[in-house]
Amino acid sequence: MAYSFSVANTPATGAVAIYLLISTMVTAGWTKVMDSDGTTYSSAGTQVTSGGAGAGGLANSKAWVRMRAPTVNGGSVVNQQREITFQRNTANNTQWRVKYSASAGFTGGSPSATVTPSSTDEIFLFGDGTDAVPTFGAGGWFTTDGNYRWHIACGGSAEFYSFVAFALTSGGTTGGCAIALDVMQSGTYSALDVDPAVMYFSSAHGNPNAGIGEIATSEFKNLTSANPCQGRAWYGPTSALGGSVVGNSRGITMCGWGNQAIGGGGTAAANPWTTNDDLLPALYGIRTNAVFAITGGGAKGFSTLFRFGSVNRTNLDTCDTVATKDKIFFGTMWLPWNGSVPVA
Amino acid sequence: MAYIYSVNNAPATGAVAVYQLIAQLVAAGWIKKMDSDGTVYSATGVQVTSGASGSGGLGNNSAWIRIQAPALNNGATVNQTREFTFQRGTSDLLWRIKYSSTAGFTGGAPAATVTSSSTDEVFMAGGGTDAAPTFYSWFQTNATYRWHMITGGAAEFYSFIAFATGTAALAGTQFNAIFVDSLTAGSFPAANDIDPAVVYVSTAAGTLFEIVSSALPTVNITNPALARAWLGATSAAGAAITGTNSQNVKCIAYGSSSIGFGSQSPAGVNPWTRRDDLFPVVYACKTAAGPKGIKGFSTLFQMGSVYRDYQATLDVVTVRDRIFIGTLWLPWSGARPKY
Repeated sequence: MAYSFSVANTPATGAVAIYLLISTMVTAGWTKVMDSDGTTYSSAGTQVTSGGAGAGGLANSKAWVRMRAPTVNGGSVVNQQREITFQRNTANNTQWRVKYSASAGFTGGSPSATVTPSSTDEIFLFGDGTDAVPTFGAGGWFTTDGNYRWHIACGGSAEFYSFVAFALTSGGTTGGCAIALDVMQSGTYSALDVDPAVMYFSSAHGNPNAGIGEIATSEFKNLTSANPCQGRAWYGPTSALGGSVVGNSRGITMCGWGNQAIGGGGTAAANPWTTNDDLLPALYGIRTNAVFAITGGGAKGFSTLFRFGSVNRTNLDTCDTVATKDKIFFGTMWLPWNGSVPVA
Repeated sequence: MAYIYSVNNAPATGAVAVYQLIAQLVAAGWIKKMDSDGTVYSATGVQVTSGASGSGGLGNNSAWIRIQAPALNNGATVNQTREFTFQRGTSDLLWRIKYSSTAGFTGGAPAATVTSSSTDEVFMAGGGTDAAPTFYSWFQTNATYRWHMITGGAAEFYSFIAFATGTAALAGTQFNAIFVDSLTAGSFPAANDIDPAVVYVSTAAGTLFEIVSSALPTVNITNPALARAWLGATSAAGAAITGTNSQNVKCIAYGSSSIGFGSQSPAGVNPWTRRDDLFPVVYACKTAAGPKGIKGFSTLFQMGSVYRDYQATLDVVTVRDRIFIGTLWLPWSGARPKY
C-alpha cells in the first residue's frame, strides 16, 4: 500500500491534530490498542473517538492512546510491531507525553483512565516522569491552538509503516512541530538491527527550518537530546530507558551531501539532461566525539521517507517524481506529498 | 563478466605500464583498432605487441594505440563504443591521451606518428594537434611504482581503473591513474544521457584520485582533464575549457569537508556487524559556466564509514575484494597489496 495522506488540515487544537494523526495511521494499517478519554479507560482502544473535549475525546486531562503498527520483518526481530503512546497534558493541548516501543509493546504497567501502560523497551520522545506521575514536555510541542496547518503522510507495507506529520504556521512557511517514524530502506541496514528505524520528535516550534528540517545536518553528530529526543535510533539491544539518553538509544541525524550542495544551503543544479531536480538518498548515522574513533557510532541506514535534492528549494515547493506533486520540499529535504497544491 | 585484475605489477617503464593496461583492456573485451610503433602504422591495430622500444614496441617516440570498448546500450546512444588513444611522447613519462565517447577515432590522417581524430574527442592529457602533438608528463620516474589494473566486463559496463602506487621509500604514495567509470544503471536518465560515464586522467602526483570533495568543481581543468563527463551534446572539445559540455565532475562526500564519509573523520563501523559500511558515490558538477548538476552514481567506487590506512583491504563478498585508496574503496583482486 502506498502512503495515506491528510494534508493542509487546520486543527482547532493539538488534541485534534493528534487525533487526525492517529486516524491516518489507522487508515494506513495501525491499530489503536488501548485508550482513555481521561475518565474512562478502554483496554480495547474504543473509548477515544475524537480530538474534542468531553466523553470520548482526546482533549481531556491525561487522555491517551496506544497505537501499534502492523507486523514487519527485515531486522533481527521476527514480526516486529512498533508502538507509540500519546498522552495529553492536564491543562492544554500543546504539551504532550509521547513514548515509543520498538518491539516489546506497551503491555506492562497499570493502564487506567489517566495512566499509560509501560513497555520493557520504552523510550520517551517527549515528556518525562512516571506513568503514574507523568510530566509533559515543557514549553509545549504544538504552537498556539488554531495557528498552524498540519500535514500527515502515513506509509503502508511498502514503506514499512513509516509516517511523518509536521506543522507549518498558518499563512506562512515557518516550520512547527513534527514527528516521524522513518523505517530504513531494505538492504541499507544490517539484518542484526533490532529496530531498523529512526524515531523523530522535533524540538519546539518557531525555528524557520525547525520541525523535520532539523534532522538533516552537514555532518553526522552525536546528539544527546532528550525531551524532545529529536532523532533517535537503537544502536544495540533495547532496554527500558525512559527519558534517559544513556544507553543504546542514540541521538541520530542524517548527513547531507557535501557542504555546498545537496542537503545544505547551496545548490548543485537541476539534472543537465532532464532539467528536473535530482532526488538522492538520505543516510542516517552517528559519529563519535572522538576523531578517528572507529566504534561507538556508524551508519544506521537510508531513509524511506526523505530525499535530498540537487537544488535547494523553498519550503512547500513541490515536484513530480512518479506522480504529479508527489514530493514536497521542507527544510532541506523532500517528503512524500499527495498531489495537492500546498496551502500556506 | 566480473572484474579481471592485474595488480602489484612493477613495470620497467611507463610504456610497459600502458601496454599492460592495453592488454588488460583487451582481455576484458576491448579491441585495439589501430596502432603504430612510431615507425610503422597499422590500420588494423596489429603493429604494437609490447611495451618495449624498437619494432613493435610502444616505448618509441610518437608510438600510439587506438582502443575501443565493446558496444553498450545503457544510455541514449545506441551501441555506444567508447574509445581512447594513447600516444607516447619523447620519453616513457610523456603521454597524450584522447577520449571519444561515441563517434570513434575514425577521422584525421592516422600515420606512424599521427593519431587519428574523432568528432567528439576530449583531451584527457596533452594537447596540440594530431600532427603537432604536445604531451603531459604523466608517469613517475621509471621503476618507482607499482601498477594496478582493474577492468570490468559487461556487468560493470566496461568500467576500468589503473593506478600507480609508490614503492620502497615512496610506499603509501599515490601516483598517476586513469579510469572510465560507467555509471550505475538507474542513477542517470538513460533516455537522455548520451555518455553515462565519468572519464578520468590524473595528474602525475595523483593525489588520491583528486575526485572526492565536499565542494563541487566550478571551473574546468585541462592537461590533465581530471574527471570529465558529458553534461550535454558532444562536440570536438579537444582541450577547450570553455564552450563545451565536457565538464569536470567530482564525487561529493557525505558531509562537510571535515566530517563524514570521504574525509578524514570516521562515522564508525556498523554498530551491529562491527564492519565498515560502504556507500554509493555520486558525481556532480557545479560549474559557473555551462551545464551542471548530478551525473550519476559510480560503478567503481564506494565511500566507507571509516577512514582506513592507504591500501587497506576489506572483505565484502570474498577475501580482500576491496582496497582503500585515498578516500574511496575500489574493487580488488584478493591479493595482498605490495609496495
